[in-house]
This record gives sequence, C-alpha cells and structure tokens, in this order.
Amino acid sequence: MNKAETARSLGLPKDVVFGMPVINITGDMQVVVQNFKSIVSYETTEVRLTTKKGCVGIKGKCLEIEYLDDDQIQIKGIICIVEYENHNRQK
Amino acid sequence: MAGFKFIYGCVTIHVMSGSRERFINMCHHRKICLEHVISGDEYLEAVISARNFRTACEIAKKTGNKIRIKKKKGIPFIAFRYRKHYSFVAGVVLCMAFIYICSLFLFNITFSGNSNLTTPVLTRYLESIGVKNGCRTACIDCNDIEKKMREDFDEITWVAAAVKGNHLYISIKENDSFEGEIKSTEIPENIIASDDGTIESIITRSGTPLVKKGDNVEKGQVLVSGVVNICDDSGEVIAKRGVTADADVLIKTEMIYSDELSEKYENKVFTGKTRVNAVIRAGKYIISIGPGAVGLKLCDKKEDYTTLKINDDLYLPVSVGKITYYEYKPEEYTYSDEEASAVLNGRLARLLSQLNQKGVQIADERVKIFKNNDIYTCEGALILISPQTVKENVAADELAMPDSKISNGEKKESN
Repeated sequence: MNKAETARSLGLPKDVVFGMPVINITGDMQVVVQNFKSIVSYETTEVRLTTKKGCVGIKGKCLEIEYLDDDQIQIKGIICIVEYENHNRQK
Repeated sequence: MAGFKFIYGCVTIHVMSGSRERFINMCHHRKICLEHVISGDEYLEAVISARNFRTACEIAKKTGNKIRIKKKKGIPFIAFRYRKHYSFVAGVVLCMAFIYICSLFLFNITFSGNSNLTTPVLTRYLESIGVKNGCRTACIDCNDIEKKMREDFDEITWVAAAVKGNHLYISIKENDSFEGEIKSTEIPENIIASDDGTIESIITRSGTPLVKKGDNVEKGQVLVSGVVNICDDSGEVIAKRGVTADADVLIKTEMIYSDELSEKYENKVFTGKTRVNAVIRAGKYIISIGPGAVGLKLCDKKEDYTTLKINDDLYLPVSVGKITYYEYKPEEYTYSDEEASAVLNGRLARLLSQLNQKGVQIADERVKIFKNNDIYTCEGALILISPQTVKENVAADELAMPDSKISNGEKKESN
C-alpha cells in the first residue's frame, strides 16, 4: 500500500501526508501560504515561492510580507494573480 | 502577540544588498520569524525579535549583506536605557512592592444572595469575628467564617466564602420561610390588644378566645387566653392547662392624622456656578486638589469616587474622584391652594403606602385639608384594620385552681 492509498483509507489530510502547499486567499488583500519551501523572488509586484508542487507566483501591487515563520508566509497588498508556474500535471 | 514582542523586545533591521531572497530564506531555514518585511530597491526592512538579532547578523555576514538596527522597541531596551536612572528604577521597584503589599490585605467584601440579612449587618458581624477591610488575607480562614455564620445566623441555610486577590466574596442562601426560633418548650402566653378598637375578625388556633367579632376592646385587654379549661361531663372545670395562644386577630382602630404645611417655603435656585475639586482618598485621609468652595456663598456638594483596582480581584486602598460644589440662592415661594393640597395628599399617600407594606389595611380615611392663617393643615382620622396584638406570659395565678374546687375534687375522689 503506497502513501496515497494509506492517506485515502485513513482519511488523513493530504497537506499533512504529502506536505502539499495550502493557500488561503482573503479577498484580494491577503494570501497565506502554508508548507512553502523558500522564496525565489520578492518584489512589490511579484512574490514567487517554491513548494513541493512547484513554484507559486503571487502577482499584484504593493505586496509586502506581513509575516514569515518556519511554517507559513502571509503576504498582504492588492492581489491580482495566484498561479502555479511550469505546472504540467496529467490526470 | 504585540504584548510578547514588547515584553521580550524587538528590533527593526535594515539589510542592504541585492541578495534579499537569500537572506530571507536563510532566516526561514534558521527558524527566525520575520514580520513586516518591506522590500526596497537595494534594501530590505523587517522586524525580528531581539534575541534573534545575533543570528540575523551571522546570516547577513554569510550572505554578504550589511545589517543595521533601525529601531529598538520593548522592555529590555527601556530597562537598559534607564539603568542609571536610579530614581526611576527605585520607583518601579517601589510600585511593584506597593502592589504586592496591597495584595496581602483585604480591601473589599462582597455579599451575594442576602435579602433579610442586610450588608451592614453582615459587615458588622464579620468585624466582630475579626474579618474587616485592612486585615491580612492570609489570616482569613474561609471554612471558619462559613462555620461561624451558619452557627450564628439561623436564617442562613448555606454559605460559601472565598478570597480572590484582596477581595472576599461571601455567597449566602437564606431560608425564606424562617420565622424565628422554634420554641422547644411551650410557655403559656396570652394574646392581648396593643390598642383600643373593634374586633374585625378572630381565628383561634390555640388557646381560649375571650372576644368575638364586633366586640370593642381596650389596650391591654386579653383577647385570647393561654389558659385552657379542662371540664368534666357536668361542665365543671377540673384542671387548667397553659398553652401558647395562637390566633389571627384583626382589630379595627382609629388613627388620628395631622400634618401641616407652611404657605411660604424656600427653594434652592441653582445659579450654574460650580467648583470642581479633584480628590484622592486613602482610608480616612482625603487630599483635595482644587479651589474648594471659594467664591460660593451657599452650595450643595456632590462626591464621586472610584476605587482604584488592578483587576476585578485586586483593589488598591486608594480612591480617586471629584467633589463638585453647586452654588444656589434660596428664594421664597408661596404655595397655591392646589400645590399645597397636592403636597399634603402626597405625604398622606406615602404614609398609607408604608402602612400597606406593613400589612395594614386601610378601611376608611376621613381627612380634610383647610387653611388657617398661613398654615395649610391636613387633619382627620384613618380607620385601619391590622393585627394590633402582642403576647404576654400567663400569670401563675390564672393557671391555679380555686381552693374550693380542689377540695371538692378531693372529696369526690375520697367518696
């Protein structure tokens, strides 16, 4: 039984088992990303983060890291786009 | 969160270089929490805790960045800045010592659940057993208070005492149906009239009724006797038994009512001039800051105090407040007939209401208001129906049998 099957049969959350990023967006003013690995670039118009599922780009205006610790990052500003970059997942 | 930051101290750092992301990632790797990270053209600003600053310096050195402190905030920095201001340090220490000493003494007692036993009564009782404002909280034995209160107040069915901070909370449950101590032994008692009047109704539960409805009675007359005659088949009294007379007796009495009101009266007309004084009160000592009532000829005084407290349970023995003096001028007015009548009727209504609360029924009121010279007089009689009775012990000779009857009885026995 592989990891995915175990998680599915036990009903465990995937972000815990696989370390998947969890992204919470509050309106267009705040994004909270959990389980991120590192920051690729940090500008006032774009913040790019690496996660286990690839690079996550957050684009907008007046972006600022409100809070950053070992588990999550909180970005505030005017959020326009949140996207996975170079993501070619096949179902 | 902000409170913790202030307690442990935090610094706003200014990092100058091009490799900002590397600096952030290394901080993330070393589990340094960054807040309010602002990115500029060639710099980065962030807030970190003071204890992580050394680690941040090492990271900056490794990543080739220059780091400097832009702003310091928090208690560690304040303490360091004022370390040589001995008076300030002494003030802080004294303040803490004062708060600690205050917490050792009792400054407030709160009662809850009491209705028949009023707060002043309970406060005086606690004072009598050595628990009062100002005593050491360590000396207060809550179990002992509970035990003593249960023993000394028959009305109390349950009591709980607790000391929180310098506040003593006492919760009480009273027995609502309590009507005094139940007498274990029956003492022969008569019911006598406490006023002249006419019997309106009489319901006897125990004892011998000596009057009936409609009888006129005088003050001191026995209404229900505590002596019960025991008769034989021929109706002759063979013994007397003493009982506590128990009866509901309502007596219709007449109460003479008279009230007077002068036609002219003085009224306070406030001029609007006030003087406000700040007041600090500690026990019986009062420090007043302000002009007092200077410049005011006649004035009313209003006092407002607030007891200082650190939280709901920790009161300080100091109250602050203000005393406001309101200047007034006495002016003479004259009552009109209607006004005088309204005032006198109001007083009478208040009296009747008080009597009603005491369980007295008002059967009739024959009151007239008239004016004599400058005096309005309200005069008349109130017909009241009330239990105007008292109890008194039965005299020993009332229970004694006449000698002739005793001798007759003995003769019968010998025959």
